[in-house]
Amino acid sequence: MSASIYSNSSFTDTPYGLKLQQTFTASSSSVVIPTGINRVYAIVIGGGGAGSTQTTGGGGGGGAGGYSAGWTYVSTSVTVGAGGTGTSTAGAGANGGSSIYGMVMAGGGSGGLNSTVSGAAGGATTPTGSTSVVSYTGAPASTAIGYASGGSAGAGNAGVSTGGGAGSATVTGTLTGGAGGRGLICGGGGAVGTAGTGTGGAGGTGDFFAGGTGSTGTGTGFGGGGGGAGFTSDGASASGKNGGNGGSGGGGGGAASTLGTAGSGGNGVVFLYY
Amino acid sequence: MAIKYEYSSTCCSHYYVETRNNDDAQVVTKCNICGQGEYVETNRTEIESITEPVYQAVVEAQPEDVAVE
Repeated sequence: MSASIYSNSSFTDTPYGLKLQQTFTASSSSVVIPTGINRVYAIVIGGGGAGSTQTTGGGGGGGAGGYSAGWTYVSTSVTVGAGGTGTSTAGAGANGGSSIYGMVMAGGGSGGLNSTVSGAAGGATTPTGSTSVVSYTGAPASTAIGYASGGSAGAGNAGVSTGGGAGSATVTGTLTGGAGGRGLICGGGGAVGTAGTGTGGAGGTGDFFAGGTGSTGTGTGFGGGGGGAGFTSDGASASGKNGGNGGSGGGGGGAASTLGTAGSGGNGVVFLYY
Repeated sequence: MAIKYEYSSTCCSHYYVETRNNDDAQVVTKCNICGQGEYVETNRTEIESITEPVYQAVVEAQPEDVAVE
């Protein structure tokens, strides 16, 4: 899905007099800035973390990629962090990669840890697990609402970049996974794997794009979590026991139910204005 | 291999560049200056892609530095 100038904050918060001139979703060592331009304004977003999958029960959702913006000197290279790749191997999800242009940097989101602990959102660096890190703005790490919010034991915490929702280790009864946190770039939903009726948590709802929905059904073949909204596209919905992928621009991946394939985090993105 | 796509908008001829992998979707399709025209590709170039940031911090000893025993 492509971004619209009217529904994406990368355009609406453009510093006066500047124009979006270059966008990167792949790393490059040959960035060309016109002669005479020595400083540019960069919006830098890290890759989203992948959801987790577990042998029994459901996994935790991945955290969103970090969001950083500011003036920087001109550089000939840019690094765009890839989203963590979701797998069907039981364990924590992969972290998203960091994105960097000049002196503006954003960490990737953490992969979901296990059934009850989801991944934190990226800050200036990439967190490990549910504990968030300080953001590029200097805003402190937070276990609740924050610029880069932490993972959770329930619904993901809200913020600019948000944590994923937790899943459940319980294997019987009617269960619902935690939703990813609401924010600008959002974490993925947590998953459940139950013999009863299971509903995966929805991916976090973004300011400009939607999170994916969790799947619903009876048995462990359902209950995957939806992917979180990214900066430039919607998160994908879960399918059966598989988690949905995070939206492009750092959305966190949805977690998987019982050895399903977890959703991958969305790739990061870098915007340059001058 | 990443590809550098160069565009010109049909409304105000704004020159705009996206660098992305070949199978990735175009991020911005409408002119981001006036929101009216579409971006029309004018050129594409394969470029070297990097996967990890490279830091080259060179620290040299200064005359006033004294070794600590």
